[in-house]
Amino acid sequence: MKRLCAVMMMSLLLMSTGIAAPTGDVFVIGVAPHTSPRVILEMYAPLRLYLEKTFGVPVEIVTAPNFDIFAQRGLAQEFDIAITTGHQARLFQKDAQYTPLLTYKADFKAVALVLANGTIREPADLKEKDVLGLSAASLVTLWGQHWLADNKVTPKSIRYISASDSVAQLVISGDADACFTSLANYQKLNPDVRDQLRILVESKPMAGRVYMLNSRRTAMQKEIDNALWAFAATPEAKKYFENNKLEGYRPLKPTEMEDMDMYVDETRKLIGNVK
Amino acid sequence: MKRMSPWKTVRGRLLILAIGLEALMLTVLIINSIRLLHSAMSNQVQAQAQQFSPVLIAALTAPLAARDYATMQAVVDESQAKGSLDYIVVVDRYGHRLVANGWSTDMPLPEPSKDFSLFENNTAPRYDVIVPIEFQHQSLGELHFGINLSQIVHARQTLFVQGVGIAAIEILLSSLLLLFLGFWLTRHMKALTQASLEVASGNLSPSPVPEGDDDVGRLGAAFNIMSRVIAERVNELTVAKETAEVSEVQLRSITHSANDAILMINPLGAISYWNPAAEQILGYLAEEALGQDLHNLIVPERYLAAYRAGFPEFLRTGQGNAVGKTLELFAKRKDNQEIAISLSLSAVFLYGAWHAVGILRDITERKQYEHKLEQARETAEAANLAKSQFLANMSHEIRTPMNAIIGMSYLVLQSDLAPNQREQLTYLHHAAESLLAIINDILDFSKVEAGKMTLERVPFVLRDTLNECIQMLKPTLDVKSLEFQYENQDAVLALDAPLLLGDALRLRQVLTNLLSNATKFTQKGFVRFGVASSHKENATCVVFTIEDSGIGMSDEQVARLFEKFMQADASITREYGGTGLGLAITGKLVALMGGTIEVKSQLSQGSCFTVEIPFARALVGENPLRERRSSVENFDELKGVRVLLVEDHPVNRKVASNALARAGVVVDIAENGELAVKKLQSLPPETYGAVLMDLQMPVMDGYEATEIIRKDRKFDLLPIIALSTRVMTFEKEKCFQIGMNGFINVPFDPIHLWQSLLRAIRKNTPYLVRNSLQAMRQSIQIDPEMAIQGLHVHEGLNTEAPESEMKGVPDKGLVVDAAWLEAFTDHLGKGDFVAIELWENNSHLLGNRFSPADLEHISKALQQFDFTRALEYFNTGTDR
Repeated sequence: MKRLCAVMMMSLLLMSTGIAAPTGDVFVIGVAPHTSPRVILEMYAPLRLYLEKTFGVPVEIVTAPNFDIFAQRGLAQEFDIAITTGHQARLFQKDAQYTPLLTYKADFKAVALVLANGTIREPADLKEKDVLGLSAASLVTLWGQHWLADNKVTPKSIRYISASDSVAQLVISGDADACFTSLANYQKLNPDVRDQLRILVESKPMAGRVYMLNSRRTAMQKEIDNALWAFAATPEAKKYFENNKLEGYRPLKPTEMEDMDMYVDETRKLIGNVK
Repeated sequence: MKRMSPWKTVRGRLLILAIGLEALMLTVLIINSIRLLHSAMSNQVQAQAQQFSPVLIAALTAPLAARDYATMQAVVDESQAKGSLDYIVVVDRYGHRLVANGWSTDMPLPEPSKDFSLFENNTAPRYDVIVPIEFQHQSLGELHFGINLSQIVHARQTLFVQGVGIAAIEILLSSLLLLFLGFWLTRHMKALTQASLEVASGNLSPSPVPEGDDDVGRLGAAFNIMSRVIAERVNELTVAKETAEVSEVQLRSITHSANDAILMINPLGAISYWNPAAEQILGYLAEEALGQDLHNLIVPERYLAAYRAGFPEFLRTGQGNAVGKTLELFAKRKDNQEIAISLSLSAVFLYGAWHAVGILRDITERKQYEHKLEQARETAEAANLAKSQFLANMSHEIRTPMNAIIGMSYLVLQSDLAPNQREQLTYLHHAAESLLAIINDILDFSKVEAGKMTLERVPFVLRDTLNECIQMLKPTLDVKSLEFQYENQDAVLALDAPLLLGDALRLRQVLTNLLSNATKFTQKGFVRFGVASSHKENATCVVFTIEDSGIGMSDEQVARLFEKFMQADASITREYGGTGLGLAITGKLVALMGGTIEVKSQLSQGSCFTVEIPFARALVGENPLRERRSSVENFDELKGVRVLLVEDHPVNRKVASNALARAGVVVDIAENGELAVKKLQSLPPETYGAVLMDLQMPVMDGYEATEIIRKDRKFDLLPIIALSTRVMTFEKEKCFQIGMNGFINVPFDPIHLWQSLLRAIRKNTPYLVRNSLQAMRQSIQIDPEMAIQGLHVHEGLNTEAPESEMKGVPDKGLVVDAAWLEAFTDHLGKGDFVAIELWENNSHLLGNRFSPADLEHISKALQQFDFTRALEYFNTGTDR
């Protein structure tokens, strides 16, 4: 009896504050593996702590070994919020009924990196070269492949590395001639690593990491949205934005998601090949 | 020797102790080792777990965050494949197992191990660890893994087993070593023990134990030395103990058997020893007496004060008034009876303090005996005195009438008588003399029998004494026409022969008796009188030989010769008369003189009496007596001498007066001592030349009168001569003691009387001086032409200094100067009789040099011929 009253009181309290406690024991935020899991956990720890404090439930940041598996898990409704690149976000939106919430202000651009003092200056220089990319399903990899195709360059090989910091190291070490990663990731590289690399090409701004809300959390969308925007105003978030060159949150532009449709099919195919 | 249980032997105890200690230490070592192992292993396992955990967590964080189960599995598999982990299981935050290796999925995961234990009995010891996997404060899951402890447990077991094994081996080896060592040690100790037991059982010379250079060997050597020394010491102690025991037994025997009480008191005055005799004498048993205060127990109250005063000093010094002395005291018995005791007290120093030892004898009985003896002595003395008084009285009673008979008959014979009257009176006189002789013999014999006969010991001239004997014998010799042979050439009879000390009177009596007998019992032939002498240091042994050619005696007669009242036989008495006392008296007198008398006789051949008497030699130089005696024969000096005769008996008075008158002496009479004293005191002291004093008189006897006269110093030089029938020695001694100068027995020989009187008068210097001066003043006219230069007669007369009559004698002492003192001292030192003369003649002039006491002491010493003592007194007075 006392316990029922406590729950009722708690509910009333949360309702009065406009925050509805998410259902379930844990609020899972899946983050696409654009970098190593450690980095991801580290990056999103402030958000996790803020949401955990705000919602009063445990908040878990998860990722996946690669983009493909991440997409599969997203499509499998494993995430309450999925933070992933635009193309997967569109796929989640179209195939799994996720709702886009926001994205980062900072443009998401893909870059092709080569050695700063390397010989590759032109896209054509990548012919018969070893090129790395993040996961085959990653946006930067897809863009890169489209860029190569658009430039009619057939590299010798395209290998897919899960961590962006690893692809940079491989280019520096000579294991690859170029790599496709995000501009943000490039910018997050250590200066001494970054100085050894050169951006061969930079894409147009694309929908970067988009916050996608699982349909099971639709009832809390407003609260979650409010919490995200409230988080963005915190010093921790500012620091997060600053450290990761994300500049903050912004709402999505009207056709920003639709623009990713060109990558959705390939992504869907790639995910389907992943067992 | 009884075999001891192993745990009682040194070896056994050593072994047990060593093994026990070793086992304990090994156990401690093993336990500690295992503990340390456990701790180390625990630390190692925990460290391992701590090493594994971060590594695994680091490896699993990314795949866990990425839900990269393959990677997680790979990591888990790889980690578990190393072999040190039994299992690894990764669970998500919801507890769902994500990956596992080594743990079945249907088995519940074990709880983490709280304690690290190596002693679990399960076959798969394991250390279970659960570590949360977090990153950035996000719980990603849990890592479960178990570290396989089998190796550690195995190591522990191996360590334990090996440790125990090694410990057991070590204990075994130690035991063996200790056994061997113990055996080696106790082997010697056994020998030592055996030898010690032998010594203890009395064998002081056991077999030597083994010796050596090591510790045990040295112990054996030391034991051998010790046993040898012990044997020697025991022997010594045994001997000493035996000696002490003997002494103890002896001492105990002595103290227990002693009739005298032997007791000892300790420094507290308590009795510490009380022998059986003490029990008997004092009535207290030993157990009653021991520990008691001796003085409170047996000392009468009147002695306690003296004890209390002296005991502290005794305790301090061991000295005391009674210590080292034998005192006669009284003691109090248990029954409070007082007994007389003789107590000999001595001090012994024992145990650092003085103890007193007393030997106490009950002399009550002795005291009683002494009292009885004293009473008996007094009775005997009284009886003796009575006897002496009786003899004296008898002597007086007999002599007085005899004196009258002899004296009167003598006097009558001096007058003109008819021949028949003379003849009759002569017979009467001789008869009286014979009777007197018999009476003298009887009295002498009585004195001898009563032990009253004492001999004088004065200087005398032997030749004169012998001459007197011969003179007395000559008439009888002449009558019987016997040849008298006198062998008188011996040096002892020489003119310059030294004086002998003895009783001349008694010697004369002995010789006269023997010569008289020789003469009496010889009808024809000879009588030979021989004198021989031999000299020793200060003694002369004179042998007198009286030989005759008389009737002789048989052996039987000789044997009874010296018995009293015995003559040779009754026929002798009838023929020759006699009382038979003479030889008996002679024999007694010779014995008293220290001599011997022997008789050799043959019937009808004659007899030979040999008398040997030792005489001491008087220390004399010249022999003035010889000269003086020769001079005393001139009795003219007595003419006109005034003498006071003190005599109560008219007959004796008449006899004496007549005898004196014949010598020309003027006699004044006093009938008793009182009258004599008055007469003397009424006249100048030099009125009389001498006083003849009877002893037994009424009103005042001669003793008392003499004492009174002598108290008056002016009569010091007045000679007082006893004239008495009392012939006992003590009476004579008393006379001299009270100051008389001589003693004449009554009846007396007138010549003896004159001689004694003359000698006495010559000492009466004041009388002589006075009378000489008067005579000289009356007869001497001073002729200037005859005056001898330097001789001042009147002056000399006025100084009353008559010349000395004696040759060779310094001036008698009218002037006592240094020369006189030197001469007197010289003669005194030599023991010369001249000293006596000098003193008698001059001592009255020494009043300014000597005190009356000194003069008296010197006089008495000289009277006793003690020249040494006289010299001491003289020197003392001179020094003063």
